[in-house]
Amino acid sequence: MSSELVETRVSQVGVSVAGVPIGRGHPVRVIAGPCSVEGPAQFREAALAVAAAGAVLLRGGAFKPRTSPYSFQGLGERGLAIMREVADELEMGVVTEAMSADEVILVAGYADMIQIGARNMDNRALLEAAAASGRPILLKRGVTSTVDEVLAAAEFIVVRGNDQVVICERGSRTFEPSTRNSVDIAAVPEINLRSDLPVVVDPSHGTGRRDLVTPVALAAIAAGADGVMVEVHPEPGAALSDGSQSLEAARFGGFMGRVRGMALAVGRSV
Amino acid sequence: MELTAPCVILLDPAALESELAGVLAAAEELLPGARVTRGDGWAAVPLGDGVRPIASEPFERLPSVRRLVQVAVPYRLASRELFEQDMPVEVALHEDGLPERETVILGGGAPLGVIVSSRWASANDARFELLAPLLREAGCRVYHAGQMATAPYRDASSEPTVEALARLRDIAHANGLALCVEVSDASQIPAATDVADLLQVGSRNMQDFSLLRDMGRSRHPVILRRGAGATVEEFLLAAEYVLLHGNGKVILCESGIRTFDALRKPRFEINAIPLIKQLSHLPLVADPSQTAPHAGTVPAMAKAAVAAGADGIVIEVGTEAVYDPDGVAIDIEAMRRLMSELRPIARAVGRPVGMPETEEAALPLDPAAVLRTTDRTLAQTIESITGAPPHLEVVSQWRLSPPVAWLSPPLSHDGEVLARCTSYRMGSVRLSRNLSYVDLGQIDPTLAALLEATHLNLGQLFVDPRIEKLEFEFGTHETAGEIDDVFRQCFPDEVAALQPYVWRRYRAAIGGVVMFVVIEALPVPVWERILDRGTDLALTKGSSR
Repeated sequence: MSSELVETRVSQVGVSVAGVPIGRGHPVRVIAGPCSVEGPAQFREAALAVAAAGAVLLRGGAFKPRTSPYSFQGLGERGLAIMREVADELEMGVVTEAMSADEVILVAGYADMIQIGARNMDNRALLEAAAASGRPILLKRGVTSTVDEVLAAAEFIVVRGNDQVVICERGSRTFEPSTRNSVDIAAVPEINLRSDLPVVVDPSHGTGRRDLVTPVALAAIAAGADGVMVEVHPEPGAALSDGSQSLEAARFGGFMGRVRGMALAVGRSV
Repeated sequence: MELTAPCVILLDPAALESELAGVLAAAEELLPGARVTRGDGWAAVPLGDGVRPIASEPFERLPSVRRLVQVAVPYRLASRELFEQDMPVEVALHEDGLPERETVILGGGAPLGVIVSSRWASANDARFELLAPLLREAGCRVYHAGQMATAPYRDASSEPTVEALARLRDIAHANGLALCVEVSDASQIPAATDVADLLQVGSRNMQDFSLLRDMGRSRHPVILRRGAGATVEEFLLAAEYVLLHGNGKVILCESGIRTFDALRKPRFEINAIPLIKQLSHLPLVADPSQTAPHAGTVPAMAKAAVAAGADGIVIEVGTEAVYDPDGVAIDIEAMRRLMSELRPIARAVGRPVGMPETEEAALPLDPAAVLRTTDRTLAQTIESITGAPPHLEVVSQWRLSPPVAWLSPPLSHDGEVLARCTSYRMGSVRLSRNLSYVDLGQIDPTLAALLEATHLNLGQLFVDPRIEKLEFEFGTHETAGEIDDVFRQCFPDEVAALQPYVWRRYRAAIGGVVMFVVIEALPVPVWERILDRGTDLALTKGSSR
């Protein structure tokens, strides 16, 4: 693919999710919540913790793209309803993944922002359906996709008339065995220089380790990311998915304090 | 006690070799070839093969032995299990026939270590003469002169000769910079140690074990770069080779790993920075330049490295494309800008930048200490403590002529003075009362008009790098004198809430000409509450700029 093809043509006013603008010139946004919605109590507890600490958008999974078909696959529409109810109660927006084109309308009925997962970055039918939904889209870079390829996927959505796209760097697969993925921090300034689309970083998937989430989140903000997306669970040890990379809800305030300090250091707020 | 895991004997670093003979003889039986590894402030001998159990008592009774540490990971001397805290590496600026003149410290909580390389300057002494003082001023402490090796198909003249290196070394030392050179073959070590203060093993040589052994026998600090295909464990084991052979002065350098994206440079592996810091006590620097897609991304990557916990950065500085085939060099202006942007980031992760004596890393403990944080404006200090910028309220302002005498020395004798009484607030809480006297005879009339119309505040003027703050004075309400009278006039309803307070007064000047005088007072009870509760105030009250 020639890189001229993917020089993005987008130059727009910014992305806004449930009234919260994301992008350059705006505060650093923290999107937080559990990997999966496991039930009303678990989601509410995580959501209350992240809302109290100052996160602006909730995340949660109802349709889960799990590596193994025997792993917890998510609560489906019930999970969407739980997220919506709690989000309305807290007056927050909610971001959740749609895994196929036929799910998009259902997900768009509940969510303020549709996530395209890393495994689906190249799923053109899904990109098209998500673009057509008119909802803002969180586009995750595939684990083996280049910066050119994720910009091309974003362009695919934008040319269909939906410019509300946020790119998410969530790490790629490397040979290093001690981390799940490797966050490509250079992609943050590179995308910032080549595109007007906001960039957020997901240090939870990007490292796969709770103990590395905070320093990598701080690095993302220092590198110019417009936000970070982190997994938070009331009891990570009992989580049905991604427990080892989830921050403990009770300690999320400490994470937000560090994020706030770093945002100030780069002249932004949170 | 019987120890089954591999061990390290920690020794008294002040012990002489002769005093350690007994320890070595005993260690030799359990691990042939035992030798003492000396770092800065530590000395150690690895003990045992991890298979045969070791009785610890005989060792613990030997003179000069501090204690035995069991280490569960394969890299024993590099491991965090050996030292909980970061250990520094001291780089002495050597010169033939001269005693050590100066020392640069990397890691161990020292200020951010800034290492600059420049093919552009290394190729020409005159350029380096110009660049070196600028680098030093920007906070750089180590100059990397390139590699001694000659790569095939490369212009050999771009690699400095020993004579050229000696000249670069002299210029570097004259500017307080240590000189580093890369060595790719053991035969180069003697010449390299003659001219350089520290040696580098490049990423291609990370697992050249015979070179690593020879580096271990040197007393020079060694920068070891991570191989592009090496896991973190392999990297630390490579460092262990150098350490085990006696040289405790190893500095790790994260320099990118190969991924599927073959068109790009090795990936700058940000995850590895906190990971390695967690696993090892050794200093860790990161090289964004050799891993940047292009020069435009270098500053952001450097900032990320510092935010992630790196002890230092390696930056390529240059201006001409011919010396920068990879297109990653930034010019000296961009370098200076980067350094000023790194300062708050380093502070946010609790690390000083630049010279240690000008830095205050710790949070002030009392209201007077807040005022003594004089390298920041009061608004910046409030922001760093509460996590949010304060709101500036202009309470009153008036023009004075002649200016107040007690400002001694007074502002201009014939001109008018703009006096302002302001307050920093967080929500409804008054954090400070400020008085400022602006010399309208010295300040640009446009700025004065903007100030008077409250479109501008003095804090914004401090962004001008030419502004110097002079003659700080500190006191309590008891020593405030006329200041107290003015505060009472400005805040008539709040006299009770105002006391007790601490104050500071300073002058802001450009080129020695005083532009304005600032007096700031902090009510002690309010500040004790803030310093006690940290960021709560900002979180609960909200704020606006």
